[in-house]
Amino acid sequence: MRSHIKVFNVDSGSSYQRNITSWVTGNNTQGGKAAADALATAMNYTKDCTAAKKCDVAIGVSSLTTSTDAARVAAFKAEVTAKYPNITMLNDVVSQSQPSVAQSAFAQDISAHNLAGIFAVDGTDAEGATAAVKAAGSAGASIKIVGYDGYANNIASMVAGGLGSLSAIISQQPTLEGMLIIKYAVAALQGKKVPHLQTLPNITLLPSTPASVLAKYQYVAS
Amino acid sequence: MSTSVDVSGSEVTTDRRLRRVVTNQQFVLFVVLIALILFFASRNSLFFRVGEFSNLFTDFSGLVLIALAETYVIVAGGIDLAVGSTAAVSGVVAAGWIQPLVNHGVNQAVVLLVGTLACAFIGALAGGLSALLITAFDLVPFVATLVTYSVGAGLALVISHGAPVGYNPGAIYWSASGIGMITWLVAIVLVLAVVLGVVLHLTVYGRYNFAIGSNEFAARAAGIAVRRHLISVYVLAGVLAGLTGMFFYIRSGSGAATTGVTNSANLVAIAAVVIGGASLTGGVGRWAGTMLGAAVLTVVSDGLIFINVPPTWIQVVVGALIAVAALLQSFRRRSRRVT
Repeated sequence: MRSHIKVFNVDSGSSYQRNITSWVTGNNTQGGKAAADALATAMNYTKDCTAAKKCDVAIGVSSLTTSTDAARVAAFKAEVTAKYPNITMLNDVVSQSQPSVAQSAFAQDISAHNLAGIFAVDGTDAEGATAAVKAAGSAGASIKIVGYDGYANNIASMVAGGLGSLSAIISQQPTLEGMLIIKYAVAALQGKKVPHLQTLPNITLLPSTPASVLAKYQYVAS
Repeated sequence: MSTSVDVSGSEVTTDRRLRRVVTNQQFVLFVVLIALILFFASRNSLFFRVGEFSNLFTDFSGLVLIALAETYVIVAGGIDLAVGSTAAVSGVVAAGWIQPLVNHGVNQAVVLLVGTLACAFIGALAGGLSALLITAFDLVPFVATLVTYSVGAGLALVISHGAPVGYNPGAIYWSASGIGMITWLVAIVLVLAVVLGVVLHLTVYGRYNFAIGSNEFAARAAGIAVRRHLISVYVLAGVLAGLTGMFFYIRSGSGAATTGVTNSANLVAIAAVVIGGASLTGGVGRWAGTMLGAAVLTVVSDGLIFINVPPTWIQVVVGALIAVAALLQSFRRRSRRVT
């Protein structure tokens, strides 16, 4: 910053972003809340989760320190606490961005609890969750999974349906985020004022979402 | 019980035997393993279910191959930091190669066999690179395998573009099939692990490994082809790491560049070997020790999640466990000097 090089950021960031010229990211608070609502709907909360028979939900994160993960999980937990008191949230499991680690951890949660749902905070955790439920067989038959980020494999899993498929995916708008940050970079370099922080709403993708819409939000490998 | 000049010779022997058993690292680890299982079961009785033991065996199998790879290397006086990234790059390369077979509906057994051979091949290349740097360019194993680690981790990202490679739900279903608590996937790994134990302790190749690790100069003077042997050890470690990459592909149904890298699987494998009683200076190590070390690490990691311990504490507990194992080794060394 002292060398006057402008820095532009997309997606995750640190809590100390004062010197960043512009930061475009998904609205993780809104996304976390949307995930809680989608999971409660998939679990048929009003009918199947009662004060006498609470529903256990597992939460998988890639990292405890990544801003996006932390914000999504905090919002998810706040929404569940406020709106779904008959859901019991287990402690987070940490995958370190590895589907296989997430899978092992979720397998433990499935084995130890009468799990009704899983919130996977990103694409790799969602992959691990679907694999764990598939491998659990009949023990995982009633477990609903809500993931985050439109990884191709996860969208394919959601569309395919069946054991271990995702009930919903909360998706950022990666294409729009990329376009906006380029636009802001050009504007800033021309000396124009750009927003320091812009958050974009997340979209809830469902198995019933048209293929053309799913394609729009699917992550493309760079 | 203590020894003294007044007791008969046979009593002294019994005392020493008992002391030897009690301070034996494998014995202590076995007791610790049983105690851990009982502890977790006391906190949640579901821990004793067949399904949970199946989970434990599966996670153990994901660690044990690279831990045994590391055992061979450490006993030979080296170290291999590349096993984790070798698993990653093998997994993503194989996933890319076999995805067309998956898409064309080729029999799953054929798909997985081709993938396994591909992973072993990529692993052998990675191990060969480490061996080349060590034997031809005289790099120390730490640096040489760090180079291979970086190359492997980088290539895995380049090839995968940071995204999962392939999608094969059939592999996931197969990974969960088997008899009782032992899946076919675990059975294959356990058979391979037993073969590795037999080779390490009951063959000339294994004895050469211990001899080189104990004293490379003396081993060379005794006529052992040290350079050739070390090449074979690092290639073997690479192949085992590659097979671990295939193991994780089969479990998850896709290859991921992060597999074995972001969780520092290389260090976890080294920890299993050290907990098992091997010496990082070479020449000392036991197959049973590594198996028990990997089992203890698996039970602790999984058990803490099972009883719903916050994730922040899990690493602390694993670190404490390694410290206790190291202290135990130190105690044993002192105890031997005293007796």
